Amino acid sequence: MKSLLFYLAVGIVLTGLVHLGSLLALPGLSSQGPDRRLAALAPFNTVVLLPDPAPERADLAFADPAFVVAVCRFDLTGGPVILRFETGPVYASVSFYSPTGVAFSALNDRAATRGVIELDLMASGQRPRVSPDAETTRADRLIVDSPVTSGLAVIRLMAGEPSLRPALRERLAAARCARSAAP
Amino acid sequence: VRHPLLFLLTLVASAAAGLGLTALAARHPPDIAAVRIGPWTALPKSGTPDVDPYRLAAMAAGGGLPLAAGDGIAFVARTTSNGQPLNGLCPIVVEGPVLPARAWTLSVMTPDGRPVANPAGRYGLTSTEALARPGGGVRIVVAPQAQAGNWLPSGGRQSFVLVFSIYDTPVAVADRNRIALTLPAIRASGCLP
Repeated sequence: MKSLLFYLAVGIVLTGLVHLGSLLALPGLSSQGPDRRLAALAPFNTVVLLPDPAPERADLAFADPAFVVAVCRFDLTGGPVILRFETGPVYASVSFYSPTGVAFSALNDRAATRGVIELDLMASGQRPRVSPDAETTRADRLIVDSPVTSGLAVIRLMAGEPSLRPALRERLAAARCARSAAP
Repeated sequence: VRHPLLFLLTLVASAAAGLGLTALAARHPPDIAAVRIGPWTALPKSGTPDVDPYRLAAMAAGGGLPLAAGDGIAFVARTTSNGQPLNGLCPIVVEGPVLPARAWTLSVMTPDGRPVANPAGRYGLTSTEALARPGGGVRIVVAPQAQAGNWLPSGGRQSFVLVFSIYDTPVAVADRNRIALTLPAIRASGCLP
């Protein structure tokens, strides 16, 4: 009886440990995670428009169907990446995620200058030591510090009405996500 | 070890139970640090670096990306304000004030987060399209057939969820000392014969 209770206690502790361990390991191992899913559609450092929402498919579950969405899977190992898109008169945003889906930053069109958001995405340590002169010439430039060397930038434009969609898709198709030239 | 067979059994059973719990949690993650307003639930932490491991496991299992905190916040309702399950065969009225925000959308989704099929091909309603209610706020009818005013098709689906997404709001939803955070009430308004 005593040993039965002992094994029960051991079993409960072990169950907890296995649960915690597998829970923490799952995001790194899964083939259904956000980055792995989008990897099939988008090569690195390229903007890819996601298809319009339809009942039979959802590249990202719970994505708001009112938005036109483009994704850039960024890779900063070769240097910073420039992201540029036109926002126009609609609500627009860009959000940054780690490959497992941890959101680390987001900007909306309030950060846009003359209807354009242009930013430098940099891994820690890639931030150049800019002189005050350089700072003024690049005053419109936004810098986003990334805690990860690769991840996802999700650009979203809100189609307040379905009729806006084609124009917004065209606008997002012109978005750019590319390794920046040498500073 | 006094009972090698029992010991082995304990190991196998614990491993199976632990993995089973993880699989279950990834499919139905617990709502940790949730903000509840009537029937609506939001997880403000899920769009921040402080996201909990259960939410990350759900994303790994195909749960999609949360709205980043600087972008917006999504409230999900699975029941009416009275706690009845949402049934797409009955007209459901979403009515009341909305949090101050630059834009909002109300979407009808399957419980696993896909747009609900309907003949009109409309999956949501936006603040741009919605007709204002006299006296402020909104009144939206979610129903299988077209309705006067703001209509959102439910596709006649037996079970669905409503997702209220709010963009660029000055309200700190996660603020514990929040005052009068308001979202529309949800009620079933009679059923189809």
